[in-house]
Order: sequence, then C-alpha cells, then structure tokens
Amino acid sequence: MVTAKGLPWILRVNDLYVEFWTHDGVARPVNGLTLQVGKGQSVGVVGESGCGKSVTALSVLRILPKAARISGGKIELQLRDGSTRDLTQLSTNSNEMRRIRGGEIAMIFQEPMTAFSPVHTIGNQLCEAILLHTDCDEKEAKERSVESLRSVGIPEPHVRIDEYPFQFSGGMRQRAMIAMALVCNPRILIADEPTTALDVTVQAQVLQLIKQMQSQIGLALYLITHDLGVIAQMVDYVYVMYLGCIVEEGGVDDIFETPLHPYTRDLMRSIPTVSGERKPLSTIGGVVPNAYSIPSGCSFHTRCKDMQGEVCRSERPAPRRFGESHRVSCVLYEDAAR
Amino acid sequence: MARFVFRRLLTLIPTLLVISIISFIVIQLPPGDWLSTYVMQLAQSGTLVDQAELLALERRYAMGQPMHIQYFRWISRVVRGDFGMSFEYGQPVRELIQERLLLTVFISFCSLIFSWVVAFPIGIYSAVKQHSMGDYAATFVGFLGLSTPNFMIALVLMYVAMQHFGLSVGGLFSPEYVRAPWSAARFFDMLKNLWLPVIIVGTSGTATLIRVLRNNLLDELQKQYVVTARAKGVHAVRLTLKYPVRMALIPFVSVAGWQLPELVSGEMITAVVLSLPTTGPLLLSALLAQDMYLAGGFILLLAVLMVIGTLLSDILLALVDPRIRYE
Ligand SMILES: Nc1ncnc2c1ncn2[C@@H]1O[C@H](COP(=O)(O)OP(=O)(O)OP(=O)(O)O)[C@@H](O)[C@H]1O
Ligand SMILES: [Mg+2]
Repeated sequence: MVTAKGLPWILRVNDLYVEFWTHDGVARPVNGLTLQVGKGQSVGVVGESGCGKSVTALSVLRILPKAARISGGKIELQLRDGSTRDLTQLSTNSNEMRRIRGGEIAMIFQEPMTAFSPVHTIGNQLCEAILLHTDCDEKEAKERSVESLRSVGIPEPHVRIDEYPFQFSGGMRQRAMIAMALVCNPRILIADEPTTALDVTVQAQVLQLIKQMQSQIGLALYLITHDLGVIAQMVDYVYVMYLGCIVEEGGVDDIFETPLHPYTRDLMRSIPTVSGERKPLSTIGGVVPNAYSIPSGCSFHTRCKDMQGEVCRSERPAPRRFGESHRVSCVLYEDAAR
Repeated sequence: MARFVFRRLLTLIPTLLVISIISFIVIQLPPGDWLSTYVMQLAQSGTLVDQAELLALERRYAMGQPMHIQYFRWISRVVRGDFGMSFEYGQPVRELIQERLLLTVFISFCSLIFSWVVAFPIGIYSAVKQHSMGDYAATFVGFLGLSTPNFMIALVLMYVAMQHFGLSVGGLFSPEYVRAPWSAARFFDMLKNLWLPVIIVGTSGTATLIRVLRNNLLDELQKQYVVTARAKGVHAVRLTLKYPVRMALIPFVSVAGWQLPELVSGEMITAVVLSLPTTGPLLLSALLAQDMYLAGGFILLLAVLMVIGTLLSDILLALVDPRIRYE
C-alpha cells in the first residue's frame, strides 16, 4: 500500500484508541485515529488544544505516562530492512522499542526550556543518544555531537557542547534539540509544536532549519501544530484532528482551498488575516468537550453549525473520498462522495 | 567552582564573628563576673584564696576593663584553643570538651550517613512505585519515625536490646574500655555500641529525607526532560537514576544542611537518655550550674561546627547543581 501521494508508507497508525485511567474516571483522548506517513513525506496534524495530538505522538513512541494505555488499534512501522513491526505489540522498555526510539523515530518538543536536563551538559545529553544507538566510543560520540551542533547552526559548537542548557537561548536550545533528535539518523521526526514557545523571528529560523534538515537526509516529518500558517509553510499533507479522530485529510492545497468538514472550515476562519489580526482557535463556537465525555456519533456535533439532526448525534460518519487524496468524515458529504 | 568556594568562605567571616559575640554574651550573662563567683565558690568550700593568683587571673581575663577589651582578650585566647576554666570541674574547658565534641560529631556524622543510606533507596522506590504496597508501608513507617520523639525510640530500643538480645546498652564503651586510653580496640568497641545511638538519632531525619526525596522525585518524574530522555531510547532504570534522581538530590542535599543542627540537638537528648560521654549531658549540666565558660565554649564550638556543616552542604549542592556555581 502506498500513501496518497504515491510514496511508500513508513508509519501507519490504524484505528488507534488510547485511554487514561485517572481519579476522575477514564479519559479517551484518542478515539479510532487513522493516519499514515510516507517515506520522506511531511505530514501535518492540526487541531485545537487538548484534541489528543501529543498523546498520539507519545503512543507512537510508546512513551505514554503510566496512567495511559493503548486500548485498541495498530501502529505499524516499516523498519530499515523492509520488515514491519506493530509497535503496540512491543513492550515499552524492550530493547527493540528502545532501538526504535531515537534510532528510527525521533521526537522534538514544544518547550525547549524544559526539554533538556538542567544539570547535564548539552554534550552529555547528545552523546548519550549516540552511545545508545551506535557503536561509537566516547571520543567519536563527542566529535559527532560537535558536528551535529554545527549542522544546526550553533556557533562555536566545540565550546557550546560543554555548556549547560541554561546557558543557551530558547532558539539555540531548540536547535540543539533538533541536533539531538537527528544525530542518530532517524527516518521519522515527530515535531510536537516545535516553535510555539519561541518568538516569531526565531520561529521562522527553526522551521527553516527543520525543512532544510529534512530535505538533506530524506527524513519523514510528522509535524504537530495548531497553527495553520505553519502547516501551509511546512507540509504537503494535512490531517485535521478533533477529539482524537481525524475528521478530514488531504493535500495542503485541498485543505486550504476547499475545506469540507465544518470543523476545518471553522479552523480556516481563525487563520490570521492579511491585516495581521489573529484570533485564537478557541473562537470556534461552543465549549470543547473534554476527553472524559466524548460526545456520541460525530463528536463535533455539539459545536457544529451544520448539524443535520439525529444522525449526527447517533452515527459516527465514515471517511468519504473526494478526488485523489482528500477525505472527510461528515454526513454532509454522504451522497456527494465520489 | 574554586571561585564559588572562595566567595562562600568569605561570607563565613561575619557569621563567625556574630557567633563569637553571642557566645561571649552568654558567658557574661550571669550577674557578677565569673571571677567573683569563682572566689565565692572557693570560699564556700573552705579553700583559701591566694591573692596573687587572684590578681594574675584578673589581669589575664582583663577583668574590670571595658567589654570590648574583655571580648578581644577572650577571643584571642579562644583562637589559640584556650576556652577558660570550668568552675564546676576546676579543669580547663578544652580538656573537658575535646573528646566529647569529637564523639558528638562522629555520632551525628554516622547518623547522617545512616539516614542517607536508608532514605535513598526507600525514597526512590516509594516514588517510582507510587501507590504500591511498599510505598504505603514506607510512608507509614516514615511518619511513625517522624512523630516519635527520640527519647521514646531510645527507651524502646534499649528495652528491646536488653530484654530480648541481652545486650548491654547505655554508654558508648564496654566497661573495660570506659577509662582506657584511645586504641584500635577501644575504637572497635565503640563501633559495636554505636548502632543504637545512630539509629535513634538518625530516625527522624531518615523519615524526613524519605518524604523529601519521594516528593521531589514524584515532581521530577513528570518533567519534560524525562520524556525527552525516554524518546531517545534510554533504559528506564538508567534514565531514572541519571535524570530525575539526580535532580531530586538537589533539595535532598540542601535539606542535609539544616538537618545538621537537628542531628546535634537530637544527639544531645539521646546522649542524656543513653548516658553517652558526649557533649549533650555536659552542656546541659553546664547550663544548669551556670558554668559559663564551659557553656560558652560549647555553644561557640557547636555553632562553628554547624557553620562548617552548612558550608560543606553548600559546596556539595554546587557540585550537584551547576546552576548554583555559575550564578
Ligand atoms: N497525563 C495525563 N493524565 C490524564 N489525562 C491526560 C494526560 N495527558 C493527556 N491527557 C488527556 O488527553 C487529552 C489530550 O491531550 P494532548 O496533550 O494530546 O492534547 P494536544 O492536542 O497535544 O493539545 P495541545 O495543543 O495543548 O498540546 C487531554 O485533554 C487530557 O484529557
Ligand atoms: Mg500537545
């Protein structure tokens, strides 16, 4: 099977369910989510805060918090040797899973300020990754770390490598984070809102860097964001996520030019206008239901401007295909589907 | 790091000055100067006071001179190790204190090590296995240790040791070594008797440390850098020890700093109950008898020890937390 753009797939998440067992009950942040990432493809996942974007990414790496468990579905990864593994079947701390983390799939996070240990040098934390995934000795690992810091544009890497994270600026830290993620040549990079915590000019530089690294080493990018501007700039294929499922997917052009799902259209309306005015995503009407009580049927029906009545409340709409790669899950398009 | 230690040493000077002044005030506190008290005591016991000796003493201690001169006389002798005379014992304070102080420091130090060695694994286990039976058990025992006064633990342990194990308790030395001079055999004999006071003095500190470590670690385990390290593929056990435990150690080390005074005062009470030849009982009796040179000397030395302890723990803190040494 190939992805919509004709690329062979490398990561395939199929009908994934994740539950959190907490004192307040069971939260279900991921509900039957399906998505694919092609080799070297850049894919964006967009959705409001709390819709399960991060939880999905953590599930893929099998680093969910203790309270969470994957209660259904498959996460298939194509390994370098061409074989396939269902990551949900591996145990979190197994050697194989640990080889995949960092070795096959790497991840960078939103908060460059807290993502490094404050009491270990940057070099120590970079070398750790190299020593884990390669046969390098300490000296080679250090050389490689310096090289990778240089490649992400950190000046004087041989000096900075012995510095602590608090001696780095936010932007530099995120660069170092990218260096650490890529230092073991992974094939997929999951970037969870990599620029949200940075100021605007630095944001552009970091995005530019990710893009450049991606094309240099043929990496697949799985970019999580709630900023549609970033999506437009960075990816070819978009998944629109609402309460743990994909409600619409398609090429960037499809999504931006002909958004179909009422939720996607609401999201589009919240894009900053030319005048620079920027409304937060939460300007979509109604309250976001929480993961403890996901609405029945189409989970968006509580806030949908095009509610069709009972059917939306009771039936979960299946994805319909529009054109080559555009899919939407909404009753509005039940008959129009081609 | 060297600069940090140097700066830290500089701040020590005013602290030591204040401590010495306070100790001096303690010495001066009772009405009348100590010399007249001394003469009175001698007179009461029927000893004749030699006028020449009296004069010599008066000159030596700068009696009748302004306060600050007396202070300087006193402190310059203290620096050379002369703490004055104890009238209770009629001996130089230094002779009385020396060995006892060493024992107090030794017991407190052993208690500190004991509480760290016990608290460390239990605290980590409790946090990593939060809400497990082991965690609940550790918390329960910890609270018990925290809320039981030291003397109570001392009495119970003494009872158990004597009644059920037939051990001789009380004191630090077996009868044959009490008056013996220091030797390897005497030292080992002391080690044999040490466990009881060490456990007693260390218990409440251990309970505090377990709770501190557990809570810190629970906080740290939630942090983003833990997720980052997991995402790199670090093994869970190695990860816990390298990152969150290391971070949780930081407040742990700073707790150790203010644990010292607690240990020493805990040691004093315990020493009274167990009749240990350490500083506790002596200080208590010195205070009761208004034996002011003895009491003042004690207070001075204990306070200085405390300051040194805090300094050591600060240096340790800077070693585990780079952010402190770069400030
Ligand atoms: N540690 C946790 N314990 C309990 N529930 C959790 C936990 N982490 C996440 N959840 C649940 O999962 C839901 C989705 O969280 P997630 O972090 O994936 O959102 P997100 O889409 O990444 O949002 P954001 O844009 O704010 O990062 C949350 O609303 C919450 O209900
Ligand atoms: Mg998130």
